[in-house]
Amino acid sequence: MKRSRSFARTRSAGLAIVLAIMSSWSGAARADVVDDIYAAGNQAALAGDWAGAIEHWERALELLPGRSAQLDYDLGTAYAQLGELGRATYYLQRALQPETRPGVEVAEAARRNLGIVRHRAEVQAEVNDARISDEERWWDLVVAVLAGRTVGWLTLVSGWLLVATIMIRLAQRRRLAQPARPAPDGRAARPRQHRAGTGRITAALALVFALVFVIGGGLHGIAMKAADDHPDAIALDSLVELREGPGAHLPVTLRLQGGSRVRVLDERSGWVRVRLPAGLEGWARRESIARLDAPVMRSSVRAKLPSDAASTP
Amino acid sequence: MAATLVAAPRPAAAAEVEVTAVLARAQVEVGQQVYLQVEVETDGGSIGQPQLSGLDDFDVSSRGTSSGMSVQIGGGGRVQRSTKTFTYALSPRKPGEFVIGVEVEVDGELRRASSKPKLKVSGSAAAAPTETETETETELHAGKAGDLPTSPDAEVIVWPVVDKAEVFIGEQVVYELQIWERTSGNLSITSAPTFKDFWSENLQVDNARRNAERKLLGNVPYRVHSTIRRALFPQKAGTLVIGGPRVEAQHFGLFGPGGPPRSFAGRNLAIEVKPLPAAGQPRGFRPSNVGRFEIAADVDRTTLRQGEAVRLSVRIAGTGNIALVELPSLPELEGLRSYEPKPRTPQLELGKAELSGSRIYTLLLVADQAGELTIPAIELAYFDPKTQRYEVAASKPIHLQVDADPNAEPSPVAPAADGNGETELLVPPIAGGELVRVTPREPWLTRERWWVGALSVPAVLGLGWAGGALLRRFGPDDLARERARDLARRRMLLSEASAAVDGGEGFYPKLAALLQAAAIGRAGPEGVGLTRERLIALLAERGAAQQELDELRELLDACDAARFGAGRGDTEQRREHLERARTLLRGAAWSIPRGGSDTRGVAR
Repeated sequence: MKRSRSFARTRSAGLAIVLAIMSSWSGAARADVVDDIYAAGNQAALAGDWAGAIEHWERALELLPGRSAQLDYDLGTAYAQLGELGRATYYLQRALQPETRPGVEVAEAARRNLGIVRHRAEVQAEVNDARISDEERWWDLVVAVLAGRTVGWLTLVSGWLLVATIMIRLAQRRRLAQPARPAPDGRAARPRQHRAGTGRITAALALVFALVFVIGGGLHGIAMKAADDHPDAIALDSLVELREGPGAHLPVTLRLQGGSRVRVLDERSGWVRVRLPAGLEGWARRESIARLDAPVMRSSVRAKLPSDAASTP
Repeated sequence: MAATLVAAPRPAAAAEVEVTAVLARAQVEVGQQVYLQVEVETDGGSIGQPQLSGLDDFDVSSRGTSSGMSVQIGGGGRVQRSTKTFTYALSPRKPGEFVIGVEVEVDGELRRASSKPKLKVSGSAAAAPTETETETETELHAGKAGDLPTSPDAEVIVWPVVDKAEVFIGEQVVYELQIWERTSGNLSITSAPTFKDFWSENLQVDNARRNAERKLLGNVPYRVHSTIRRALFPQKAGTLVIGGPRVEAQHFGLFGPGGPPRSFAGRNLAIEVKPLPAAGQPRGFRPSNVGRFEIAADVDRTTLRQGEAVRLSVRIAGTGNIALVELPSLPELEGLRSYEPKPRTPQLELGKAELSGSRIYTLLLVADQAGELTIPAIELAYFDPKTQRYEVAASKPIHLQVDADPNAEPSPVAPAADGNGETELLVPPIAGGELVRVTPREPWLTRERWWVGALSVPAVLGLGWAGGALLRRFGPDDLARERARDLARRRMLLSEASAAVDGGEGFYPKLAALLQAAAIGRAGPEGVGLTRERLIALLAERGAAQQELDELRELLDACDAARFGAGRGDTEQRREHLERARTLLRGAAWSIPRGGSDTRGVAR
């Protein structure tokens, strides 16, 4: 009995080791493929073939298990070179997202290219008589900071410090209600006035924690919910027609310049309802709008993989 | 003969095709209107337009058609019938008796109405204007433009006028429809004037003039209404005719309409349109630029950086067909790249004597070069019909100060040094050998955790508050708390005495305090403040055993002796005293009774 149990344990351990080796091998192989495709895109970019570079880099992005600010930046720049300002904006914005942890060099270059793309989009909007979203203002920064994790931690810690402070304060009040006793070593008891001063400090601290928790927490919750319910998105196509409802037969309410930042309000059968920062709303085709918090939309164009080349007769 | 018989229209067979013609009234006066209704019922055949005969002395106007369909299901099966009804308004021009013939082509075959309606017209032929009369008014002498009607015979005179009868192509003509009336009936325009070969814009009519203006015509008072004002711009040379309108007057009695409405036709007006003079005509002149115009240009800013855009607004204003006036070709803009101009909707002033207004064109200019750039004067050539000369309106030149920007995009027209054009200024892709990547980590503080943690704070506070409230409501009262305090104090004294056994420091005071507290606790509140002997006596009264009282007295005396006499004694002695005190107080009678005791006034 004991022997069979030991055999089963050995067998499962062996199986686990084999699986681990297989998975690590497959991850390494996948990384190699991504690097190869990325290198092919680099070659195309060096030759000035931006369309070819985009094709390869998008495939690399599709196969990449994680995120890469460098790849997003390269794609954004390549699209900017081709004059596709919507997609350029989308990838450059992705390159600046905190979860990609962009290096200083990538972040600076992405910001600069984003500025150039924005400037071109503004000119295009004038020429096309299209709407473009306003540039980000201090208010957008405030909302972004409020929805950030720093404020989340700050408010959470403040909340629990508030609980602790209230408990300390209650204990102090109980002690204040008791008669003063001399210390065991014979020294005189602390005067009541001194204990009252400590109580005032804890009361002030409790007030500060309560304010930070209530106001900061409330604003953080609202900002977070807004970001969840109405995620940020970018208009991808050169000109996106916003309609009165989800249907191609409905009248066009306004034309949106590619690269405009919008918020997604609703999604329905291939259509999304978006809102510009100025409050204008309309329905656009889903494929013409890309959410910044979602994975990259799959491209219909496929780059030829080195493995494909090997398998082709 | 046979052919004639075949071609002659057949009376409509009741079963297949049925044609009926009905007049609304059998007798009317000259100029009064009567409706003729022609109803054609078929089993689905195609129906042509009815042909009316015997109406040479009538003004006939169609008032529309209506269609219907019915399905009958009976013993013979299902029968589908479709009906089409044509309505005509007939207005007789002279008295007499008229028989109206009606023929309709159904499926290529002519069908006659089953009966011919008859109409008796009374009155005199002069009561209504005739087509021939209106036709004679078609020719309009230049000097008679805006003239007045001459004869006060009719109760309603439809009188269109223009401000001029001879104009150039594109020159503005103001048309006004006046209705002179002395009738008590309601007037309505049944047929609007036609403006073929004219570009027309509606002008506002003064409310005062629209309502009524009293005028005399051959000593007969008339109310004159100005109903329609139009600015007309002839689009071709020659004699252009403005079609006369038609007005209907309906009288009402106490019990509804007082007879059929009467129809009144207005005269046609012929306008002589001359071509624009060829002499002095500028090259590329646009024929819509006829009138008097001004042009002005403006920019939204005059100081900018290289590569930035400036918005140029060109405003053309004046009297004429402002909707058709186009922006003239822009002069050469050195150092500036221009985009397609966008016209705004023209702003028309419709309340003035003539049509005037303005139109703004905006265009985007991008400064490709640094330095002082100039937008030259923009010139608009137009023909002024008053002076009969071609004129040129020009805007003022605009100077722009463009600051150099080394990062500005070069002009796509002038290629960059490496031939890469405007894309050169973008920071190039990194495109390094190794792709830097990260695996996104799920942060500990997820949104769900934050919500749970944040909502737990008020929950904990609320629970604490509720617990406190419950404790205050159902927890121990003051006496119980006092008893607990006494017990705690006794335990504390006992433990302090135990701790002081070895050292002896403070042992006996603690032990004495403990014993006295126990004694007062057993004696109750009456024992507070009594001397030792009295306290022991009170304990005796309370039923304490003499042996216990002796032990208590002995121990208290020992404590006094140690405190105020020989000193702290040795360890063995103190341990013995402590053990004896413990033994004494272990008895149930020495425990603190319910209701507590005040030990603060313990006798010394």
